[in-house]
Amino acid sequence: MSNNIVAILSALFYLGMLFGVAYYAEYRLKKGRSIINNGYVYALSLAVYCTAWTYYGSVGQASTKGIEFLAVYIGPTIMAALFWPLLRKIIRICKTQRINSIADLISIRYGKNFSLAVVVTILCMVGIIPYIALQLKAISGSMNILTATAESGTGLKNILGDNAFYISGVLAFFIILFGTRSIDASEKHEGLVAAIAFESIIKLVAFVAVGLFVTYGLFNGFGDIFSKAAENDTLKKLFQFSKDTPYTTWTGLILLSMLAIVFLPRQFQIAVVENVKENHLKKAIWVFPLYLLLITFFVLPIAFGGSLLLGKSGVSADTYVLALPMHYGAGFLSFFTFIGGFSAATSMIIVETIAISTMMSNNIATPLLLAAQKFKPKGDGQLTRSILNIRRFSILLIITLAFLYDKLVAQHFTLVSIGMVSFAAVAQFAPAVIGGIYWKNASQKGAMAGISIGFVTWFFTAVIPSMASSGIIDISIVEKGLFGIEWLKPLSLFGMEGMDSVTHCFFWSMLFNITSFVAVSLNSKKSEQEMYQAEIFVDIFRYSAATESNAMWKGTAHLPELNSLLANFLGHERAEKIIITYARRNKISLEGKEADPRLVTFAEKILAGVIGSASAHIMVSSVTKAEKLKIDEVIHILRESQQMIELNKELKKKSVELQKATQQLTIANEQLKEMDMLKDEFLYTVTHELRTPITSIRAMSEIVHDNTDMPEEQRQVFLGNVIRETERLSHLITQVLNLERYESGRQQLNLNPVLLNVLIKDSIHSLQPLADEKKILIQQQIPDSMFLVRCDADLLQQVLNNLLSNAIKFVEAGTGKIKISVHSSDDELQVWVEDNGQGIQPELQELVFDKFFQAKNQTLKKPHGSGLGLAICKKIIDMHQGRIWVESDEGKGSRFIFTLPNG
Amino acid sequence: MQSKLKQQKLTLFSVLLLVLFTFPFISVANRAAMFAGVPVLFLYILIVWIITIVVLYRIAEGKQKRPDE
Repeated sequence: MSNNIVAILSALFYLGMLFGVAYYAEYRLKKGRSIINNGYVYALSLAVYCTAWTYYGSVGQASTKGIEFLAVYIGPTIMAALFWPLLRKIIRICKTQRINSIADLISIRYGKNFSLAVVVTILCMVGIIPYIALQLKAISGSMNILTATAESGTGLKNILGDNAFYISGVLAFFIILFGTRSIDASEKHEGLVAAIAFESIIKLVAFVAVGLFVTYGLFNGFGDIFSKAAENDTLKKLFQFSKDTPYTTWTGLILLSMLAIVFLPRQFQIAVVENVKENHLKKAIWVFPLYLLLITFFVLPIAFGGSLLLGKSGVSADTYVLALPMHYGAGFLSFFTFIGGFSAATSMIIVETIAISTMMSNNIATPLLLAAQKFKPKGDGQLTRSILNIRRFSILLIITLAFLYDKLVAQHFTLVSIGMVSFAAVAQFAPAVIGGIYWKNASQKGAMAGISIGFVTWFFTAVIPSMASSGIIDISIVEKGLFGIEWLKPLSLFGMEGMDSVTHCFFWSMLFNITSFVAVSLNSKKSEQEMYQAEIFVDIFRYSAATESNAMWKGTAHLPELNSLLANFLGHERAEKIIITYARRNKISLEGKEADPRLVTFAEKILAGVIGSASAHIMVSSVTKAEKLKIDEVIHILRESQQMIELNKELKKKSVELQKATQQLTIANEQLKEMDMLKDEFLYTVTHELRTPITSIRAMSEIVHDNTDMPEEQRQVFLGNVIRETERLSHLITQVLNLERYESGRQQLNLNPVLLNVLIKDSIHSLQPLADEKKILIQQQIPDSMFLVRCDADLLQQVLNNLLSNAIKFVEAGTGKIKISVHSSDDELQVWVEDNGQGIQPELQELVFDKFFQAKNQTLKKPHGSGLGLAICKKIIDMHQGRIWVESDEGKGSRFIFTLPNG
Repeated sequence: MQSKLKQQKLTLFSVLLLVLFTFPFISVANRAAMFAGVPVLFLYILIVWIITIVVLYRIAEGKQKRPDE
């Protein structure tokens, strides 16, 4: 089997695989599991940027100009950092406005202007179709090398024997099949994008495989290639920028490719129109530069290797990638390399054709059709079919034009020059687009002026020279200037020298473009429509929620007419379904003949997806009677709905806050109720406590009073009791007052550094008599070191006294033992008061610190004291940020511990 | 706002990249010498490029802590 047949078969087999991938993607979508809804697939599909020019041409360029080729990949890397600020904004705008091409974007921004859309479309066609032709040339060129046949020749003589002819045919079929599935061009091309991502993988793997083959198969690694190249004088010069590549060229190419990565129709198609989720940008921001790095990594080694090995055999440097594996007998690798280049070329052709055909059909062909028919609807779905056919025809036309260009013109150019000329062409859109989304004053006349002047300058400085050098027009225009005028030379306009032709063209066209865009914008009046669009575009992140359900239209429209307009393009069933869904979602009544303004705006947007915004605007206007909206009205509507949304958010926030407040109030209320109950209880216990001594005082006083003849001794006993009870009463009242003072927070702490040892000794001293009375031993175990604590000495003394007197109360007379000790740790001091009394039951150990605990449990023991002592202790210790608790084994005594913060 | 902060970081970074990749910065590496068997200019671009990818990854995918939450 000859190489020729194998080459064609493998190309066809590869195309078959593409069909498979595309079908599989659409099958998955139907099952609800989209493949392209994935950040990595999105990033890979962006790599449609790397065409056959990258695949073959960069090696060719590297072997003559060295590192300069990298500029075209560094530009996009820098731009990747701006994907989030810039591209995200464009994506958001295009999603909310249902924009499906760069022509639409520009024309909608500048007041849905028809002529702008046409100019942009024509510029795209003129600038890009040669670029598509270049890819066809690369395909047939690589096939010729693989099959080792001579060039199939220029001209159309042997068209049926030309492989490129059949390949173009299959490609056109593929694009039509997967690119014109739906009438709505703003819908995603699921299968196509999946196929593009697949192609990106193939071309990367193939190129890296060649790189590895050359670097490690033909040489011994990078060091080997570079050191051999260093010995070669011509190659050694390529290690740095040559004199042919001044920094201006390098910088110019970086800037140019920064713009290209956003404004090339195929990049716009993939990055914006086919974007599923804004968040996929996050992946693309770093995966895409990584892809570029990988695919360019081996360019320099292959270029040097090729020059070293094949340089003298006269093989063109543009073909080293394929020639090296072939020459060294790596048969399978050669075919794989060919497929890699084929995939690079086809992916570019597919996406570029889709993008331009949409523009052509929406902005040129469909308006012509509608004008010719004077819009006479001919029944259901008739127009749908016509429009789809227009799109199919546009695709065929583009491929045919590219094919003819390849055969008749392109043979004269190298791969690179056409590519850069295309870059410079699409860069002309940058001022209008970037200005349009950040600058409200940018006007339609300004955009028109900028793009047209940029277009003319581009044509003069880039296209004319290449036409002249290929002999299509007289070369004298380049050498002597237009009309023989010296300063109108296309390659050194106004006498400017020192730049290469691409940078020269880029510089002048952008200068004229930007200057006239800004100057005219500042000096022209804008229509209401324009001002409204400017408002939305620039502040899209504020308005994107508002525009969905917002009517930017005033006037009268009849629902049946609107309905039939949509039905003409979408078919009755779909039109009705769309309208009903929209009406239900936005709570619009479909009763009556008058159509809601929001419906009119919505219908226009839907139509824009089908026939482009400019035509859609005309269509809708033809069935409705619009009143002119004043600009302040427009802004008012926008702002109002914006405020509504904000108000709504505010309200939601408020109601959540309210709910929280209610909850807090409920809790507070419950606390209050509880406290009220506690207060009642407290009052009850206090009065109860007070009554006991008073009752006994009264009883004893009565006895003394009534029995005047009572013996002196007995009277003394009674009066003694009265005095004791009174003392108890006043003690109780003092304690209640104290406790109340601590609890209310009126007691101010008088904090001073105090020696704890002294306090303890004072306490023991004052209570020693009581202890002696009961024959109780008080031990103290206090380390010699001084324990200086900041506390209120009087209050702490009270705590110590209370604990100590409690201990004395609760131990048996005679056998009782009490021990006070101090323990110190890093952050706190502990004071232990231990006794060997009867102890406290575990379940009561916490309760003893409650007010009147003892009183509440009078059944347990006979009351000693007020029952407030421990409660007061707890309060005081709490005020000192300490803790107090009791450890006890019943029958073995108890240990009261309180802590104070150290220092 | 998280995305605002991200936007500012990325914009700033793109300016820095433009500086690193163009004149006069690139002229420092523009010499005939080789380092570790690789031409210096190529090596410089390669290293800056790799760092770029890492930084872009960190900024784009990193979950920034929000001080207001």
